[in-house]
Amino acid sequence: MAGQSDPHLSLFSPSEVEFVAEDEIVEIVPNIRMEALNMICGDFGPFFPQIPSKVPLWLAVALKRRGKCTIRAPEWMTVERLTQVLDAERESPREFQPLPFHYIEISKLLFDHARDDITDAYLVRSLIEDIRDVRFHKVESGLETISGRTHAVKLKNLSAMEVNIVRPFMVRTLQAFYKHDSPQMIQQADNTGSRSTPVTDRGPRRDLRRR
Amino acid sequence: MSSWEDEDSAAASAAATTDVELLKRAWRNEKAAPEILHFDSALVSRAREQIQLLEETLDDFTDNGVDDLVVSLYQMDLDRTLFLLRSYLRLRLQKIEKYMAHIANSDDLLSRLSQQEQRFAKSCKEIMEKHLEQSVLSKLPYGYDSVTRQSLSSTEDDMVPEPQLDTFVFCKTKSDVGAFQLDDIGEEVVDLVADDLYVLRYKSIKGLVEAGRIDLI
Amino acid sequence: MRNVTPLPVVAPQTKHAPMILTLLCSPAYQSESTKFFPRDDTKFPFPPPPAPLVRPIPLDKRPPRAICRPCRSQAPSSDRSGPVLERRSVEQVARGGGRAGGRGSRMYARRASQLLKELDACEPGQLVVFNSDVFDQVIRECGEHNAQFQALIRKMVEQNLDIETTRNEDHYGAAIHHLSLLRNKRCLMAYMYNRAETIRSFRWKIGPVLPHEIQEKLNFSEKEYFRSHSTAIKSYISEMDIDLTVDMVPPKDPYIQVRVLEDIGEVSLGDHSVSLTKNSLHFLRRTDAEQFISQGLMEEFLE
Repeated sequence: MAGQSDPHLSLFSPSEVEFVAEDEIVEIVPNIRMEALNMICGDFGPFFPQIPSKVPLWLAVALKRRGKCTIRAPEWMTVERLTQVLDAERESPREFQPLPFHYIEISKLLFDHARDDITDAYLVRSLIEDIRDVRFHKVESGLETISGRTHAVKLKNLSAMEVNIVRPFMVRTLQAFYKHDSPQMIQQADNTGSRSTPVTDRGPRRDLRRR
Repeated sequence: MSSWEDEDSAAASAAATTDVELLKRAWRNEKAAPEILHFDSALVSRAREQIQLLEETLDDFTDNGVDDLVVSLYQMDLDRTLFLLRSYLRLRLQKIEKYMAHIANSDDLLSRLSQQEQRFAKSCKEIMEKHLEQSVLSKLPYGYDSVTRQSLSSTEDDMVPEPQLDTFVFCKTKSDVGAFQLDDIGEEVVDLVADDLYVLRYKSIKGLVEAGRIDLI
Repeated sequence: MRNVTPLPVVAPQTKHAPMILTLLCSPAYQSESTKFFPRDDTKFPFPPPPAPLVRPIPLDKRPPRAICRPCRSQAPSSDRSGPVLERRSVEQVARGGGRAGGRGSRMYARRASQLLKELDACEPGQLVVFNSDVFDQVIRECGEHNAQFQALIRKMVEQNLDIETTRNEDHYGAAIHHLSLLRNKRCLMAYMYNRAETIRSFRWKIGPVLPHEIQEKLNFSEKEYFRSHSTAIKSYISEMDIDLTVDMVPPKDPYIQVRVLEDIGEVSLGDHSVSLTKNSLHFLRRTDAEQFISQGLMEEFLE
């Protein structure tokens, strides 16, 4: 509850995570000739019909939407590779398989805008959904292992969108354990237990008395 | 296992040289850090120059009848950079709004701000104080009318909202950091390996963030 | 120093145990809305009571409200465990201290928590009407607490008691009034501060002019606050010469594909004209299409 009400914990909106993912580089095959684009975010092209070229995802999608190219689905977005990943994901309950940091957003954008460029799109999509589910389940059971001794958590290969979703809960959990476990708290509890330290000067009593 | 990882990191290191990439990093760090970070004025002015240049180029394009397609692509590049810059500046203003008194009272924190931000922080604080003064504090008895202290018996400022530096943040290492001490007494040591993802207390990795060795995400 | 330690949640309750316990334990005190003010350590102008008085009371036996004035109808506490001594003194010194609670409750500083509950009940980013009734009552309570506090201190001085060391009923009574006042102040401040935070967010979400239905939820000072704060943002923006009130979300492709829902006819957009017939598909500038979309003449076409 507090996680939701604290704006600080939900840092990035889904559209912001997507914005960041749109800078990932993908390969396109243009069907037009176009001069090189010297943009603020980098130089791309020149483009020739049927000659593959590497561009940021946002540019690829923009060209695709205008019918100027096909997008080559990334190597990992094939049934074969994803089946391997899914199997490995299921076999290793304690670790995440390496996938691109933005695999969820990249695949979403490609499904939305370049579906016809993905071989076996339907199967690929359901494999990615399965992988997501397995990974989320792992995140959830991983959260259960957090305890008062957890001062750091390593999440090798966790992806951007997964980070964003797990963040509020993770941060709150760690925070709560950290707070109750801190030496200062324990020390304070000891003090009150023994009552040996008399509280002496409390400062400006004189001010309060003055009137 | 994968060739895409190599491709990714190769692309990333090439892209890291662009100001957009640096701005994006500053934006993400600023978003994720509980406290206000140093304002990179050189970066911001470089980004602004490039934005201005592209705006001029786009005007020329329209005058010279350059293909709509090309214009729209450059426009998107411009929109993306503008968003990043505006969002970054806005984010900082909102952070200043949130911790105005804390920031305005500390020279160290003020030095992290641009001059314009410093002026904003000061007027922000004055405006808030005036508001609290006239709606609450002026109506309270003597001894209880301070904006920063609960009463005269408080020996330090105990009513100034400040960021929680102890909060946990998600971060990604850029290169091997090695064994890194998280606490003051050396009981908590983590081996920070390149390109791994960790959840750590902000306070303990603050230095690495400032040195640009680790990215908040 | 304090900013790097976690907020102690248990410590303040044990520090001045058990008398102040109930004050600090109240749920509203722990409320999220107070998070902007550090929650630790209500500073106390008097040292804690000497040892004999602080018999630890098991949680389950603690009377629900050690700081209330017992209701008149209640039998004098015979079977109730707890700090009998304190309760008696509280009863004596607190007389006339105002019925600060709601129905059936006479706990001091209870009313102020109502303000925070109101904040809490509100959707994040929303505001309800400024509760000037309760607000003013709490301000009055503060004055009453102070009068009581001063009277008790004066009484002790008149009796030639050293107010720094004396631990009589007047001392504890004064302490309660002091703490109740502090708590009221924190609630009032948290109320104003949190509302101000929401009001500031309106500048980003709505703009420099607030619609009537929001205006009427603000009190005078809040309206002024919004205006002054907007001006501060405005001067930053003009100094920087960059508009920060646009582009609140990441940009999208400036062109969208639309389907025409009604025959619109020949329309000139920019430097060329388009024939917008029913069911035709077009690739238009988002800004051009938006007017038609809002009139229901077009819709965004997603494959």
